[in-house]
Amino acid sequence: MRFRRVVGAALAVGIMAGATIAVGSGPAPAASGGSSDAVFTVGTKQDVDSMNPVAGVLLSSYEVWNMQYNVLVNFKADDLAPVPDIATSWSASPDGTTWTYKLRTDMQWSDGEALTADDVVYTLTRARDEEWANFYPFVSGFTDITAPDASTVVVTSAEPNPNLPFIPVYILPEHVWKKYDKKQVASFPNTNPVTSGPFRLTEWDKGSFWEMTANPDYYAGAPKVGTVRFRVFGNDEAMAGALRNGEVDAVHDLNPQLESTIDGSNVTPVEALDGTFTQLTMNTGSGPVGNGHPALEDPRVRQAIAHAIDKEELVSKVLKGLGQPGQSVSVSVDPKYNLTVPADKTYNFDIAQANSILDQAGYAKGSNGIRTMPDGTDPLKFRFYYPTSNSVYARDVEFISKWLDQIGIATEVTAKSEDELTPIENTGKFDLVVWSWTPYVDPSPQLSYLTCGQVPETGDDGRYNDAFWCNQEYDALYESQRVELDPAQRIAQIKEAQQILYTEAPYVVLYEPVTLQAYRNDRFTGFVKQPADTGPVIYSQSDPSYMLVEPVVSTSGGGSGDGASGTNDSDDGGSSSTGIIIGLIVAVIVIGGGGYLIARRSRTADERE
Amino acid sequence: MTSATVPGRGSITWTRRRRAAAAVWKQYWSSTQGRAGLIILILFFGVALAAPLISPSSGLDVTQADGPILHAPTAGYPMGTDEFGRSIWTLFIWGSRVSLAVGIAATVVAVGIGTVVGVVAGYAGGRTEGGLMRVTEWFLVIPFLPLAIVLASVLSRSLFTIVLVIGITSWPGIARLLRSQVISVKERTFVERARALGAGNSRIIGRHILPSVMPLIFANLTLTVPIAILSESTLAFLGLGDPLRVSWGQTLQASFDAGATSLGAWWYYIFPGFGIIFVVLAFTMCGRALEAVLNPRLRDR
Amino acid sequence: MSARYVARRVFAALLSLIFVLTLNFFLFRVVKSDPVGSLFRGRNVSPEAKARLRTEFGLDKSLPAQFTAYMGQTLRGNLGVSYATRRSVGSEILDKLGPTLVLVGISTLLSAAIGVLMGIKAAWQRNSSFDRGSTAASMLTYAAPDFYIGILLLAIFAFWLRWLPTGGIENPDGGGLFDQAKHLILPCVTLTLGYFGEYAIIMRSSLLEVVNEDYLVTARAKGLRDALVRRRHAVPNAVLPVVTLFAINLGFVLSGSIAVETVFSWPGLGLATSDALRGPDYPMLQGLFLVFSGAIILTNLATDLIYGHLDPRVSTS
Repeated sequence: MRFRRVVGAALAVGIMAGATIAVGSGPAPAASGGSSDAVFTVGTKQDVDSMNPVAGVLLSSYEVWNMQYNVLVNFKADDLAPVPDIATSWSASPDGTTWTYKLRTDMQWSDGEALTADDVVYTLTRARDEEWANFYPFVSGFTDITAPDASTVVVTSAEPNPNLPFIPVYILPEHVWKKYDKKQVASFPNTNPVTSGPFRLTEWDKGSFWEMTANPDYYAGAPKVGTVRFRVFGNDEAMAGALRNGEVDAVHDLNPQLESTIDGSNVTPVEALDGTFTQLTMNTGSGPVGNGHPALEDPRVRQAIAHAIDKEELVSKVLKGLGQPGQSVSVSVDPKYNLTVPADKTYNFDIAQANSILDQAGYAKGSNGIRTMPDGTDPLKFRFYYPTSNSVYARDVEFISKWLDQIGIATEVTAKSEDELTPIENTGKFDLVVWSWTPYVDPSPQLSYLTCGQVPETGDDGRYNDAFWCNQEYDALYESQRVELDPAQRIAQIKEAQQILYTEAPYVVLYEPVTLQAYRNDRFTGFVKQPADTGPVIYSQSDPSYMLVEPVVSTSGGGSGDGASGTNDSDDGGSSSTGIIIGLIVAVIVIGGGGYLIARRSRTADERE
Repeated sequence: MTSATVPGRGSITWTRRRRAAAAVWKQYWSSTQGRAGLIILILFFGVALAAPLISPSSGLDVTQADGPILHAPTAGYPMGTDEFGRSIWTLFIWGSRVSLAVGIAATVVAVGIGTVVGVVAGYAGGRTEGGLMRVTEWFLVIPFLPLAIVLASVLSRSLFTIVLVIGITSWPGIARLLRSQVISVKERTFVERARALGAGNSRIIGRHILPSVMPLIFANLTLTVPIAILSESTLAFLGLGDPLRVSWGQTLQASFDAGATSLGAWWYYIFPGFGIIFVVLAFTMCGRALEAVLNPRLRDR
Repeated sequence: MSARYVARRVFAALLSLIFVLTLNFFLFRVVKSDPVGSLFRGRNVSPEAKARLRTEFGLDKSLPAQFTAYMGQTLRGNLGVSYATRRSVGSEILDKLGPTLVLVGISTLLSAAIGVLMGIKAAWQRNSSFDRGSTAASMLTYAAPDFYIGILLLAIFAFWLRWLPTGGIENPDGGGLFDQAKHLILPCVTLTLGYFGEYAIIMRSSLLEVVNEDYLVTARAKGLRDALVRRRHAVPNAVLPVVTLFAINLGFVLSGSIAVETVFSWPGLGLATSDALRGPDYPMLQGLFLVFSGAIILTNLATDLIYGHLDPRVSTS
């Protein structure tokens, strides 16, 4: 349900000058009682950027929305299959262009209003018409969105869409959002939200923590904990320490280097895969813009480069083992869509073979050891860029450039911020780039990025084919899977397309990194990986864990620990700044007094002399 | 005065200067600080220049690294290994080259700009001086590290950027100092005499002003290098260095990133850090000794 | 102090401020970047929607127009909106000002006090073992990058001995004043160690300079005791360079702890700077740079005016 940006920090959709987002939530209607007093505390390094689903982009924001809003059809915990949420059932017309959703009738907003088909139609229509970036990709194809009655919604698209019944758009209360027009909607802070989900935001101290209170009247039953509190940490060491001390019960995105420091029988580490992959992008030179090196238009050169990259080594040395070597482009969070390349078609790490491919293709080595084009012009010296957003890229590039040295290819490495690298990529003024993608659940978007239609023509047209690669066979497979309604057929077509990507090698997928999470198994139980085995327990597609976690009932320890993480809610901004001021005064007195004493002591010593 | 006597006078001047230099050297060498600093520096420069002989550069290649991962010092790896299994000893040796080279190059840039601005302002006087000194004052109010950070973040990440950044943020102090020195020199009789004899501006600056402020420039060189080395290490530590060129600061950053402090991998940060401290200390000691020689008022301190 | 002197100093400060503002604007326009494009990477957004956002950021205007808008906004106190947190840069900076002021304020006072006392003692007992020891210590700490002192202290006291916390300003669950004090110790000691040497060295040499001057010789000849001579005559006359150093440093304190705050995750302006580097969050960097430079311009102005007040010769020359 979430779109994941690989990098946390981002611009907002529609920030306007002066439109600050209020801190804290103000008085909230009391969530009566709650199903339990238990407080489940999560440590994260990323604060929410905006509580407003139209404006926020960060993962932590999605975490809040997942907990407090509903969608028509949700993802099942273990295999991401469709499960009922607002819609209890759904059906498609035989041609796959019209879908009918039957809705629950017992859902209520937190302010007591009923959640109806009108809210659904309102949200989907507005997301489409106003191009709300978080949701637009999922609704842009709808030609018609209607509610024949209060419990039915019908959507129509021009062509079949195999991603349905999923429409990963949070349904928002019409009676609140209609107060904000197209211009105002992005700056609406939504810090005192009207919600429908199992939790509701009740407090947000920007930069420090936010708190979600359970909805005891939730249609699917109340969550097993009364409160989920998210603590924002400035660094990994502190977050790991807090997990050890029991100040938090689970942590998300811990630096893998620190895995050994949280080691213990009471901590369960979770190495989660979410489809994110890091790739070496090669500028293959099709399209009207750009000046990629001509050698990279030759698939043999790209294949030789693929042979010259030791993916296992990258995983073990750069990722410290926390990841898996890349296959083809991973197109979905859902592993069933992703190809495992057969052994006989794999480009094994083999410098000698890479060299012999290049020799046979006529790229002879010059006197300086660098190869040239077959006609003797243009040495194979590539402009190699990487983004500074994550230090791992620098390591990748260091390894890759050394391997390329060994096959007679020189590189000129430059680091750029993501904002600077974007126009360089879009205008094709590069030869090699290391960067990452994170796919949706639906494989179509990721597949589409390497179609001919996505090759940039102006550099400013928002197209994503950063390899400038165009292959008719691949495009045909992309087009047919896009409307293929038979799941097995579709998967076969997608995997065939992935095999072409692998063989032709516009991208060399280096690896899929894991995200390290961990939880205290002596304090809470009931965690669910989504998808099963490989997925994360929190910060997942639909976050089933928050409904299910419950305190471990134990005879010892646990209770006092709960107190530490649970009942201390008096601490906020006020106390810390008061503390600072008092600290300052105390320090000045101490310094002054100490200085006086030292001066006195030496004086009397002197006078005694 | 006939023209024939002029070269004679010149050679006398040079002999006098040579003698003065010899005296300076003698005094310098008599200072323990100066001796110790110089010896340490010679040692480090020797190691930096001989790096390819001591430890081949292939030891920097992550793909060739074959040591144990993040291992404490052993006989084969006298300074231990990093998280890729490279020998810290190799990183240390090669890092000294980059640290020293950046420090010296940045100093040359800073002292170069400072000298030009200071000498021109002091010599020309009037409006030129006013304008140049205003610009100098502006640069003086700019906090060094933030400007360096901003420049390094908007320019590409390379050693050249680092040199440029340190260079253009370190010159104003030198310019101010030189200007006042030039003003006092320019009033002296030998300059007045040269001017009376019809010497042009460039000749006066080149033959009279520059040689007499040279000791000051030299003392500033030795005192700016350690600042430049410290700056390089800070910028590298903040991740603004050239990630593909090993320097001491960059090794420190890598060790901090790799969690060496919490993992107890002390060898990873002790050696490069002490490299910085020793070189900076040595330069400072040389600079202080030199200063004491050139400024007799400071002697015996 | 004449009105003309004050006016001249204020005018010079204003010129400096305009210079900093101009530099600040153009430095960041050197970069050719596409924040809107990078925001929407991998998302299906129409060119029209992107163009709309560019208009909102003012990225579609000509350079002079952007410059006028920037100057106008800045003078009205609007520093823009942080890319990373999407709050106004002004309130981001205000939030972080407190921790930095506490950390840097305490360590500046501590280092000045310790340095001055050490310098006095060292000068008075010149060539004693205390003198040699304190000079060596001053030079050693001066030679170490401040963040490196931090790394060493962190490794020893936080990770090895486990006496003190590894970073941050307080325990996530809020440990109160004592807890905050514990978090303050390591970064504060780091900065104090980094700064005191300079004060000690300057105090020492400045004192040595006045020691042999005639009036002190006279004072001693009058039979005044050493300590009295030192307190009444030598120190007051020698302290001026230290006060000047202190005044200069005061302007730089805000930006002085960037690397140390990074080592200890101390949530002040320094950590904000190194965080802003990662994006990079240009509006934030721009705002921080302005605040850092502004602090120096202001303290310089204040120092000038105070000196002018104290010493009439300054203001008439």
